[in-house]
Amino acid sequence: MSETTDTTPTTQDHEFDVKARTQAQLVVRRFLHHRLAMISLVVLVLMALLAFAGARVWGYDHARIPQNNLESYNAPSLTKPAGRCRPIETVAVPTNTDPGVTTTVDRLAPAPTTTIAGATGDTGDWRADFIAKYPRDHDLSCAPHLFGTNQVGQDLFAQTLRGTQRSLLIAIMVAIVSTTLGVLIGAAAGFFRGWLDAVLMRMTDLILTVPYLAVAAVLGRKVSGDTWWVIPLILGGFGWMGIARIIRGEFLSLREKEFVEAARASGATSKRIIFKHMLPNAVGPIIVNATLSVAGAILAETALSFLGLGVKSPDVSLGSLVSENQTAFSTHPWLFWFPGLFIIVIVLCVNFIGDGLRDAFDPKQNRVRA
Amino acid sequence: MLRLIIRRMLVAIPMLLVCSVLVFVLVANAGDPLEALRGRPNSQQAIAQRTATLHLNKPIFERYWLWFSKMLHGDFGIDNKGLRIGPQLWRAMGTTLQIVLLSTILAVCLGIAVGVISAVRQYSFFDYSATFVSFLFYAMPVFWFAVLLKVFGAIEFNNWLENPGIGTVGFLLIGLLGAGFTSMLFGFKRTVSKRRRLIAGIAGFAGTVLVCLLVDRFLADRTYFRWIGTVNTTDPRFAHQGFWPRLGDHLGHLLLPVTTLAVISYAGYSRFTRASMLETLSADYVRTARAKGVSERAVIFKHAFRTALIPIVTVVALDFGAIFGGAIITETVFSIQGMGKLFREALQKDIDPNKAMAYLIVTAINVVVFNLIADIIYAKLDPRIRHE
Repeated sequence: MSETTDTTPTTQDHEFDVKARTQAQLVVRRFLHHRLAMISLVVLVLMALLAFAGARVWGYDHARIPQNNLESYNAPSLTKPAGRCRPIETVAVPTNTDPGVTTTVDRLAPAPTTTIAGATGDTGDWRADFIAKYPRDHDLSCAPHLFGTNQVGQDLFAQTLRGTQRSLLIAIMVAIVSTTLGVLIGAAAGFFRGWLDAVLMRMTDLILTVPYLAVAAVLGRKVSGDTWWVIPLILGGFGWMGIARIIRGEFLSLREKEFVEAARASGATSKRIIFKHMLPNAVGPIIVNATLSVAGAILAETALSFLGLGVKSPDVSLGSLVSENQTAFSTHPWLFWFPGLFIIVIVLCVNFIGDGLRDAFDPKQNRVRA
Repeated sequence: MLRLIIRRMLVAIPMLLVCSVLVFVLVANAGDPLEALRGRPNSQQAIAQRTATLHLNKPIFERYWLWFSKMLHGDFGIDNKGLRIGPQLWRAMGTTLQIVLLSTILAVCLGIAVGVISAVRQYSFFDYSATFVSFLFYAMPVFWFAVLLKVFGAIEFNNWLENPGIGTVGFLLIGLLGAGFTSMLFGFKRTVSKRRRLIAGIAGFAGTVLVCLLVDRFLADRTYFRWIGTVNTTDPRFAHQGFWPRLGDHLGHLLLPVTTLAVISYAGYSRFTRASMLETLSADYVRTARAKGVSERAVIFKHAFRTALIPIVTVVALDFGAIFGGAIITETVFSIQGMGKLFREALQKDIDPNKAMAYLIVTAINVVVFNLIADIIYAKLDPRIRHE
């Protein structure tokens, strides 16, 4: 536990020198000193990088099923897949004259120097065609199956990375939708009060009455493979109530403050007061809740996938991976462990970051938990 | 108090009405109840029959009215298989209620105990580990945890029961747990020296290992049947046996689903209790009580804990209403014939509107009722509310 003070010793005349910091600087400073939150942030950023950049360079594609079915249920390993890593392939070269010509091709070497007379292909270069036809080919890739493979030989590491991408994307979209809706509704209710407040808050209560998962499940029946983006809209559209209530409470107290009165006295419009004067003062709870709703959304998407509604195969999300593989647990446990651990680590990190942000935005906190 | 209840009821009843209309429209547009029938050959008659029972040829508001007037008399209609929904619903509610009630009791007791200790000993080793465990439970997908529990809590445990015995590692682990527990118990006051805590820990270690040895001796040379169930809530083999074996079997089946639900709620309750307790512990009246010379125990339990409990009780009441509809996943993993099962049956390929409506409306009523209960408890416990 360390005490952070905004003081630095300078000269002998002044025992200390007080440095002026803006509110934002203070918040950032407090957050940077929150060790757990910072570690979580780094881990989360690394995972996102791995998911979005790593998936592009990884030797396998998440959806492609290898040609030979001997690949099913590989256990995770750090070594090359046995008996398959053959960058030098013997392939039949289609020619105009003799269909029986075969040659070896080194997939990892630069473009071939020899050309075979009469070889056909779209571009005339049969080797380029061959490689273009099988990008990141399972049957040729030398990459180890870090997380093993599933029953049809799809690489679980590639799938997990793809799932992380999807889950993160969905969760962030949910957070944006629900926060935007919640802030607008809460702000309108808290600022205008009266009948608008009554109507909006009754509406909030109404939506809270029906279970979130049930509504999502009923609506999610219509989601097909191409329309995965409907899922975050549904989850966000029914997840704004908590934020709306918090922002309403915040606005009810803010609107009585002197600076709002001053703004009103100087003739500012309601829109200007809400967006220029009050919202910046409510930014703390908004950011904290938006962060925490990312964590909630990842778990909600997982639950939806479990009910068979969500991202559809061949596309995957972390939730769909775990629910697809749950029956394999006793025989092929890695299929269940890795995506599940990814979910836990992501949600844990997001929650820790949210906690750190809450502490950072709390003006009463000048002690920082180390 | 009566006025408060009446006022809340006057808000709740119209809200339920609006809710039922919205949910009805939602379900009506969610899918085609005839979808599976259409594909089948010679299904004209079946289609005509289902159209007639569900009034599908009538406009939606007339359909709603027909459904609503029947529902008011407790008649939820018949499902797509032609069975009455009412009895199915009551049975499902009974099963779900057992699980939810047991898990709530478990979660509340554990959560409040751990939350209070965490708050009183803020930033201690106990606080850090308890917080971490809650965060971990909070981050786990429900069914992921449920499947793990099924494998390690039931299958492996049942295997172990067939030839039970505590290994050396087991002795050490349980002993360490015992040591931690006793040293925490005896060293709870800050004034207790490190040496005495250490002695308490060693004594605890020795004591638990001794108990383990006895248990181990007792367990050896006996075989047990596979007690923990993972499917349904009873085993048909016990149907004709006496009360005690049946109860034992039932508890064996309830154990895992109850644990799953309890663990998730526990995470929330312990963190909420901790926050609430920390807030009251730093309140002025607690400082006053300490300054008066009230004993620490009385300060914590009589002054701080009572006030901290108010928001917790309301959160528990709200949760209880919500979890009733939210046990869908746990029930599915453990194949329990509860509300969640009912709902999943309703969402088959051809949606079963009556069944889905029965589930949704019962859940909504539950949430509203427990909201009301939370309000009443809050008003009862917090005198400031009544003067509002």
